[in-house]
Amino acid sequence: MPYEHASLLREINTYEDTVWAIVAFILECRWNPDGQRIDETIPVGVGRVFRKTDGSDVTPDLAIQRRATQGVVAEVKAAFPPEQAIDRRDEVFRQLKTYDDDLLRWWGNNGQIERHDIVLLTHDTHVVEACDHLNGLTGRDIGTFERNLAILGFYRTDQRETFITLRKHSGEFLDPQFGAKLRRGVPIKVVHIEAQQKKFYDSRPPIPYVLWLLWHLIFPIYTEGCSRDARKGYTPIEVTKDRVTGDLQRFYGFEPDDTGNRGTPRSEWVQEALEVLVSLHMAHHGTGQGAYVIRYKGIKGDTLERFGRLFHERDEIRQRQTRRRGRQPTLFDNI
Amino acid sequence: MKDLLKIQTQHDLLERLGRLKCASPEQIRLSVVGSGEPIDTLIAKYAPFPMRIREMADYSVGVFDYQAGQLRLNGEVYFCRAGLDKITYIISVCSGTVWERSIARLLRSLYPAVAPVFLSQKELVSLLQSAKAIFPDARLRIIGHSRKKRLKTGTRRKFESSRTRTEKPLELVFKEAEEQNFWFESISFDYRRDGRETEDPNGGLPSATISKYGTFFCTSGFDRFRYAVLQDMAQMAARKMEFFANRSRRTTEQCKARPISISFDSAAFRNIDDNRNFIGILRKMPGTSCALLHGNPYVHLFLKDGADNSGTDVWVLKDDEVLLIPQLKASEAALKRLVNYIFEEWREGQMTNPM
Repeated sequence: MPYEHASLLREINTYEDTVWAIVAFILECRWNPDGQRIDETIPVGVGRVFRKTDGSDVTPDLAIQRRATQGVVAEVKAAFPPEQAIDRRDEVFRQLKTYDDDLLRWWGNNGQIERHDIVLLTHDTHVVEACDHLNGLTGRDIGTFERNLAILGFYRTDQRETFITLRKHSGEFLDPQFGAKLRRGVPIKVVHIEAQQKKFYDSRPPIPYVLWLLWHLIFPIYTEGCSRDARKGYTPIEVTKDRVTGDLQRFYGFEPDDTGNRGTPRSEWVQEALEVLVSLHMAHHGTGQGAYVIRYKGIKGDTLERFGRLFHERDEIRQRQTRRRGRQPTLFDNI
Repeated sequence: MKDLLKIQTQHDLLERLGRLKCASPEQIRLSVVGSGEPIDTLIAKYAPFPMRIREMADYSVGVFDYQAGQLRLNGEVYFCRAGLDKITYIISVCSGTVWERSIARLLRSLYPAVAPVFLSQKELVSLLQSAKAIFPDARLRIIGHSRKKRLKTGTRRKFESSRTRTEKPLELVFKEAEEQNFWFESISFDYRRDGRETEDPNGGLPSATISKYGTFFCTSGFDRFRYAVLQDMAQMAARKMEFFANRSRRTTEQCKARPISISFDSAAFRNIDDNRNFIGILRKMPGTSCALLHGNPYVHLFLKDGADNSGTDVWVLKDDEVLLIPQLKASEAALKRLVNYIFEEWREGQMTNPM
């Protein structure tokens, strides 16, 4: 199948839109209307692990403790499953239902708070279907919530300026003013969202996108002090999976901490990307666990397209090899 | 100009240059540049031709003499402090050939450690205004200019450029350029005193050239230009160095982004064609690799400078603004070069810190 760059761009744009929606919701939760500023002391956790009363763990996409005694946990489903995938739709609410518990591991006060809201954040084009599906679950366990469950839609508008708008379509919040504001719709300038420089959320990004981020944003800072090997035609850079993960989390994601934040992007996604570079002969394994040597050099043309194409071609070769290994022998094989 | 080599202090050197009258093709030629490191030490590492550096009391001088094809290129270049942080005057008394083929080449080879100042058209006018005030009893007259006009896309040639010899007042030249949508690369001027049309019309007054790339040439009167035009140019360079400095996210508090906004007087991105043109222009930026992440309705590109790996996210999220978000590696020189490229190839705007 020929490589289609437009399809990779669509995938990346959907991923970025979701990141924007999450950051927009974080900014709105942190907005202090009295001081007219973002309150950065409000704790946020992306991929934070909470403990339920039965001892099991749950990991909502996003957790924000807006007040000392009140919090919000949110699950982000940019694309709500289609009508025919009822099981997958049920699964979304089953997951939300797991957050309808006295969750432990909030910030401060022995990890406990009085109450929290549950939010489903989905694209505005799917929000009516999500609300309808919830209404259809009335009477069933996964459709009955003890805590507030709000369904929020997000959409991008591009008139004279680009905005992400958050709008509440169903449910309530512990803070009625906050809920009322979201019901009216809150447009947030993308310039404010992009200033946060978040490029990841708690979901696996497209691999060529990670490769591009690494090659253009992270590896250049590692080249300082390294000299180009004229014979080999590249600058060898020694990296470790942990160092790369740490830098991506610090500069473009969410950092782990000792309060329970796991951090994103996850190290396994980074390792996967580094292994792809090895398979593309753009890196090789170094000495030690998780160590790699990047064969860094400039790339001409559109670098994202280049990584997309290389990754696609690598996949095609792998699929052909798998098919060849797995196919039935034919009469002609022995000829 | 070997006698200049004997001067020990920068003060004496500049005083001597102030009294100098050059005969064609020689001129006093100067470039205002910004650099975080002493330029003479950079030359030792990166000079594209042999140059001997001589340390004087409070400045340094480079002496070169080499064969370039059929041509023997030799001369001296003086590295003087402009009295402002990170700003240096690169001065030489030489012909246009030596300047272009040796000194300008030397400065290009020092990129990104050394960055020239790029002047906007407004800044160019203000420097000319300041030059006009130097000789109150004389009229400043534009005697030549090199100007460019961006042609509509779809044509093979990107610019219509012209080099013109003229004799017009400053205001008229700029008015014409604005009407015809031209911008100036360099402007040459001289001075004329009224009532001396018959004998020596210039009355010993200098002629000079200012370019938007931060160079200044004059035949004489250096002492007057030094305290007006050159001082202003150095201040502009210092302001720009400061504006572009410390944009890397590694140097900011909590690794926060320090974006640069380029805003235009009117809507510059009205439709998809405008976006497409803008993307096409940035994709062709020399010495830079580019990735397009989104083209319509908003624009998101990433540009990486090939010389020092500086990376910048370029966003068009408003119809009258380009937003640059410098990334983990972002040198002053690379940002300056990118902004100048947008000014030249797209259109000139106002630079601000948006947040």
